[in-house]
Amino acid sequence: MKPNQPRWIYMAVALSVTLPFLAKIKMTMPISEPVQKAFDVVEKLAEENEGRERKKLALLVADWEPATMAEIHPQVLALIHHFMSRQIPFAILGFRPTGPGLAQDLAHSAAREWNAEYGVAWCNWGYKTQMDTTIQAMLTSFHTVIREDTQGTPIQDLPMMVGFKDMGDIGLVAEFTGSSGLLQPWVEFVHAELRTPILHGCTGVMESPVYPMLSSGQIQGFMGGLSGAAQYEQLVGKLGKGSEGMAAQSLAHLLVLGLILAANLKEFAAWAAKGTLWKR
Amino acid sequence: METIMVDPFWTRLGLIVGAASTLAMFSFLWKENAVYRFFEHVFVGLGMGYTVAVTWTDVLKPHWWDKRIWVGAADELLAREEMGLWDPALWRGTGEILPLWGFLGIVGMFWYFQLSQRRAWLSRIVIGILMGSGAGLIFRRIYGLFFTQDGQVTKSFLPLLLPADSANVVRQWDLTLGALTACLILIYGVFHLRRVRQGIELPKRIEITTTASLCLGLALGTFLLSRGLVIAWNNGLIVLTLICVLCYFLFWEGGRRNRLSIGAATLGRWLLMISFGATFGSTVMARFSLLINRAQYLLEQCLNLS
Amino acid sequence: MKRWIISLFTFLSGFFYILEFVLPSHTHMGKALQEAKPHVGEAIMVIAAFAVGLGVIGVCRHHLRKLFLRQKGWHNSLALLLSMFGMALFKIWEKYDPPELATRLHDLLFLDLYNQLTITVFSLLAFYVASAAYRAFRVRSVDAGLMMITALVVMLGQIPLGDRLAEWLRLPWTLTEARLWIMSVINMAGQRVILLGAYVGSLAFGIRVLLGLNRDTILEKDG
Repeated sequence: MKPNQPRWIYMAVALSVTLPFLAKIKMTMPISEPVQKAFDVVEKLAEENEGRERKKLALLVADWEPATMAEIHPQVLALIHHFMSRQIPFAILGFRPTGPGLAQDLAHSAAREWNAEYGVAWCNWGYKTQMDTTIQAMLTSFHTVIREDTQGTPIQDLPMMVGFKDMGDIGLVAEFTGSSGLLQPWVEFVHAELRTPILHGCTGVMESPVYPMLSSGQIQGFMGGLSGAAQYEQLVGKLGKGSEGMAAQSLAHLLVLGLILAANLKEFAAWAAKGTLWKR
Repeated sequence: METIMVDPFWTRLGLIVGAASTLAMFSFLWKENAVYRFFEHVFVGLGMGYTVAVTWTDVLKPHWWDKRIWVGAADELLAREEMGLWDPALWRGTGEILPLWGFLGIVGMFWYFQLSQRRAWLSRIVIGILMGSGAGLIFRRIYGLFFTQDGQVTKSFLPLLLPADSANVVRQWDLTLGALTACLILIYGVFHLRRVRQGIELPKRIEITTTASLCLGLALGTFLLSRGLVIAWNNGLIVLTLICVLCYFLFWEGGRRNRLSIGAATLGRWLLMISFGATFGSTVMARFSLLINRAQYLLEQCLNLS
Repeated sequence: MKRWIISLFTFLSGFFYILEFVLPSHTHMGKALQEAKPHVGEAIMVIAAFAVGLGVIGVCRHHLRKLFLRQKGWHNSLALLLSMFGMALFKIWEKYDPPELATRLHDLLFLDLYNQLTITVFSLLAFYVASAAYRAFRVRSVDAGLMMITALVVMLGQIPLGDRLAEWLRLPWTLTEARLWIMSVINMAGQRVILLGAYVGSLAFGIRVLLGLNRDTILEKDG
């Protein structure tokens, strides 16, 4: 293997992701069924909340780290825009240290557009440890676990939390993560006990293990990776970083496919030259 | 919440710092260097500092430190807590120290006995508490994930025949014939691949097999349609995959004694490869998303080329 | 004696949750356990949070030694320690009505430095994926061939160009549909079995932990 061989691959990769931005190419995605279901779940909550004096909350579980924010942030931002446009109050909670802080920044940026006030349209419950035992504790006595928000304000002093009794007042759990094992406790404890609809967003790497739960109905909707974010942005009508990145994704994917095919054709040619192709 | 006004100086400084750190990390692609190592250390330090700070502000302070002093009647506080009215003013000030929460602080400090060789066993008590609670919850977790109404096991029992309707009848003909033919040829081909590799011509049996499977498919399709049923191919494939992959995992090494278990395990391994190929495809998108984010940041935010 | 104490605490913490799960809530004991559950959960959350200091102590020991002994790379250790304490200081200060400068510095450290560094470190993987695709992904067996074909279909199905390609090739279905079919039929079934296997393994490990049979992780052989 020649020592500089990977560097031409690195150059090709760098060009494949930068050229679409310089050429300002934008692409739309066909909407897949899991993303459509995710959109419909939020719409259903909005319809249920219409006419109710005390609206059901959505719980935005921010379980991602900055390493995965490139894929998760466009998903979450599109969802927050959806919540705010349909006036669904939501709370942020996280079991990863950086998650709630990052989600708060996204909520702030969307709140400016919709004039959504903190404490009325959204709030941040902060970071907690030990997911299993904490969710179990929340199911039995919510106020033991969630006492104040990240600013130190007692929960019952927030207008959106007035009259909030227990987890039954949560109409939707939207869990976003780039790690494994963080969706399952919500399915096993919250959905199993209360039948609360669950919506999931994850990176492309974590997409495959989610399909069993989507198929069985344990989660009601799902956004996978940057393409999931692009599709949700189209549904919400707020194109952002997800849609911007799809042109670069396309070129990068074609590059990787080209590299795989080129390498294999080279290998088949070598076998054919040796006369060993059909013996393999 | 107060919002801080956008200041051009800080915005520009932030972009310079961000761009410099991004390019420093990318320099690793050329070769490892001192600048990369410096920023790598900064990255680790920042991550640790943030984790420590957030653990204190969001967990330890509200759930332990603020509860160390308890003023006033315990019953009244409990009653208010049950109504969801938790008042922080009642929790602070001078008065009795609630022994339970003091005890918790001592138990929490047991972690630090790991630093002592003689008393390290004390730290294993807290490790044991955490592992034990996780182990205790596994029963509830298994029930919640597998055996509820929507559970993974419950939903694996899928119908293999469905009522025929106009939407699926025509497609069923193609699929019944095509799938049966393909399956029988594949099974025949796999078991006799060696003959193909040795250059021996396939006997006339392959033509008989194809014809027989086409007739069988036709007969089966007609029979089912006359009963108002069609084969649920997707469900059938799911059930087949579940059984074959289970065979692959369960009948390991000495368990594969006959052609059926070997065949099922082989098919299970192939179907698992399809699953892993799907994971690889999704992984490529995930990795490139991060790089695309960097390109967006450098080109659009730093160089303002949008 | 030590092993007995450790096993007892391990068993009790797990047995509490098992008992809470199996006892009906209308029984006296079941009701008591349910009422105790949030407090036990909160206590475990606090105990787990105390562990955060261990990592700090370990890192400080290593890097302070390098710094004071002026070993090779001591300036990197200084940078690590300064960034760690600086980030912690500004993050905690944020809660106590800090001056604007402190908030600006916090945002600079977290949003402009830490976030960008983290994304960049992981974005390097994109280059390695492409490099590995060229150097290592060779079809040498039926398994590898199946994996490659599936990866091809899935990759084309998740980009907009994939459907245009299917149109051009006059395929009877779109690549998006093909991808969804692969993910929700074959991949789904395979992942379901993997999930089942993982949880059966967790159950077995959990029972071993609760009964104190697992010496390697918690209990020492001479404990």
